[in-house]
Amino acid sequence: MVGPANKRQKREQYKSERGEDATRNQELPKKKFYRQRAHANPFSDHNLTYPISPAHMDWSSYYPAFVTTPEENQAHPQSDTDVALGRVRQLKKDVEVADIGCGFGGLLVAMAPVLPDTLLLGMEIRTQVTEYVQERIKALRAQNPDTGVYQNIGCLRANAMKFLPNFFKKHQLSKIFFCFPDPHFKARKHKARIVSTTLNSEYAYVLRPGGIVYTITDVEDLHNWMVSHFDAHPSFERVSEDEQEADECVKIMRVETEEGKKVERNKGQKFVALFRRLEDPPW
Amino acid sequence: MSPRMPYQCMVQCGNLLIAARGSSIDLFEDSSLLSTWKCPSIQAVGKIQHHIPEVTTTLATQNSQSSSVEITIDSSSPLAKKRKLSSSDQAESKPFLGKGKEKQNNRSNAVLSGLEAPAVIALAITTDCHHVIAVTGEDKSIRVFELAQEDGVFNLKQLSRRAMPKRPCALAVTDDGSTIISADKFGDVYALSLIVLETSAVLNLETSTPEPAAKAFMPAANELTIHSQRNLKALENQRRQTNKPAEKSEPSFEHRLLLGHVSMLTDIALVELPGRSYIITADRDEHIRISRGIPHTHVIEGYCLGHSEFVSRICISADRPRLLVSGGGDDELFVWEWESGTLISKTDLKKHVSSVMERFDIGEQSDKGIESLKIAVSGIYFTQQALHDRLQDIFVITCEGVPALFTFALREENHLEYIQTLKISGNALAVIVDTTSRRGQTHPSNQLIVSIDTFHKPGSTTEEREEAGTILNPLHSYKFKEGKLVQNESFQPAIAAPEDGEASTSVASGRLTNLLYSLENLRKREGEGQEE
Repeated sequence: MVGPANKRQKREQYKSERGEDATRNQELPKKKFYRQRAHANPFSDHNLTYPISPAHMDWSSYYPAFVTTPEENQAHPQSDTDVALGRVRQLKKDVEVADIGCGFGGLLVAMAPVLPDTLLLGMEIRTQVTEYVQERIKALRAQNPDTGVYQNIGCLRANAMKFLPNFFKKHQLSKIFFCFPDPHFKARKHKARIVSTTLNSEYAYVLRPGGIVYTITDVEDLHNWMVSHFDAHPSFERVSEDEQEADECVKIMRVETEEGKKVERNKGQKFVALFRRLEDPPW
Repeated sequence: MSPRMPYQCMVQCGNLLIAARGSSIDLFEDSSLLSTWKCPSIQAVGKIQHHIPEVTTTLATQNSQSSSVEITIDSSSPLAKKRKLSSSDQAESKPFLGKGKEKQNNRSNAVLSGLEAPAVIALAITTDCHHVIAVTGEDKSIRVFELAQEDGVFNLKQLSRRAMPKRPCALAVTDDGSTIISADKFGDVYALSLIVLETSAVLNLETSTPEPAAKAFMPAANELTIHSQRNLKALENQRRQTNKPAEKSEPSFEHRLLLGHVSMLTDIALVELPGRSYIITADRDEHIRISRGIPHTHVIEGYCLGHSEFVSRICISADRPRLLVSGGGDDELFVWEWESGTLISKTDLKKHVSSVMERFDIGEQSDKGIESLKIAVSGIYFTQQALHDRLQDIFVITCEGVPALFTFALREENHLEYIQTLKISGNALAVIVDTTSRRGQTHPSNQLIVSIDTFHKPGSTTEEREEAGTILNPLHSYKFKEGKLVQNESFQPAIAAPEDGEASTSVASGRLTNLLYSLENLRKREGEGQEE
């Protein structure tokens, strides 16, 4: 049997070879070198890096093709806060779609050509998996240098349950995806579920009115949980089945996510539910 | 003689001062001790042995037997019962790391090793001064007291004890005095009615009787959601098991979840602006969140983002309610225009703390030098003082383990200007400014009462004082004179003599550190929570 030390050594060797050899930059990364335990404790600190506020976030390394040129910057002079933050490179547009718990990035990659003018961000709490998606995006971009496809997707390591408002301004997003989230079967772990009454308020904060939350899971119990929690939240309403099935993103979510494919192989069930963000009540 | 237990939190109402030390609450009127309420010990409540399943039962029994025995009305009678020194359990000082089981063990050990009663960790008072609300830590309970007069003497009469799902960290009471807002260490904010309604009391009794198994346990997973042999086996075993007790029972009294963070909450403020009410919450993960008030608490209006360490205290300027002052593990105090989430100014606090701490070469801080000093703001208090014929907004700041008060004036242009460092004879634990006379707005009170740590050395959160035999006064009073604080020597509260066994063992000392100085533990450490 291969011991863990050996495994670590192989991973390091693989990654350093990838990094050094420029000819391999079009080669997709191998998943086996990036596997990680499927669960992460969302309550621990994890040595995360995150911006102090959305204004502090430098997106330029994630979406280099969307960085404004100096000429464009002159057309939109920097605000005082930009200068104070030392930011010079801004994006032409804001991130609008978030895939929370993006895993190995299947949804992002499939969505990139479908929404070519929209910036999509995958957020994943597991370091190794995030690294895999970043390598995958890099390779896909290198494979398609002329078409510019895959320039609109990015992935970063984050704990979305704690730090979503550090990345996104109020009403910045139009779509949020929760694809095959950790079911946290035990009742005492339910607080760790990505959907909860109190977290839904945060999703409502970053989502603009009319924006959609997409959920899919193979665990019926979790599906019922997500439906009941979004239904109970005054900021959301369930999207009708007709509208749901007409949504292109739903098809992609069903078949293109890594978990979706796995469930397909196992001939499992898939439960889909969409929720629309409503206007806030008047005061 | 061992030093007595210091006061860890205080509230004031007119000339009544309510101050908590350890697990008891002292009531003073014009600096004379009127009465003491002592928290019953954990063993008496009979909770620990059956920690989780018993929650509702203890609640019911506690309600029925409340108050009668526990109150000592006569201040002169010696308090014979051995006082307990307690604090949050050790597991809780490690932020979110301990596994559930491990934690449970720690908890029962803490009790076995002589902990008697849960410590009071927060106090609040209704604006009409009729009710006092206290949080006791170990039993995670919110206790409501009536401030009742009996034979001309005020005392605290416990009306209810409600065990919350998680330990409350901060309390607020709505202006009408009908609702308690409790923020807990799991990040949730609950609303509870001040008075436990009759109907819900009945409910408690009903639910405490063993319920017939409502429905058979069904595993949430099935063969289709499971992808490994091992998990498949586990599922088979689960199915064989016909029924499974509910993992945790919900509290049976009425409590409404208003909002929640996925982080430990540290402070809460309720603000009323014309036509609108807000709830402002601060957490360990650097956030200050602005939510709408009841009934639209699900709407997050914004965040004040700018702290790079935990936020421990927020304070609204009563005079300019659109401004918020915040402090925590950062070196500065922050001033926010909170409705828009705009950071207006930052003011250095650390340099003033450093100049106080230079005198003390105590503990680990000396090794690393004053440069590496970490500060944790433990209190921000608002008051107004006449200075140069004008009323100034003054903020009094305390830091954990620092024997000083720092005063800042909030200027017209919305920045804080440093006024004074007042060194005091022990670490500042709690401060009260006279809020009642301030409400009248005619004569701003110029008195502060400060609780100091009489147990630890000034400047240290761990080392005990050596001056055995001297009884230090735990409460000091200061007055503003032309904008500066000076000691008010005439204030000499009559404090009961310390009892035997009080705060004497070194074990107790460690626990006392946890009780009095828990904020620095909120700081994130390098390399902690590493996965893999």
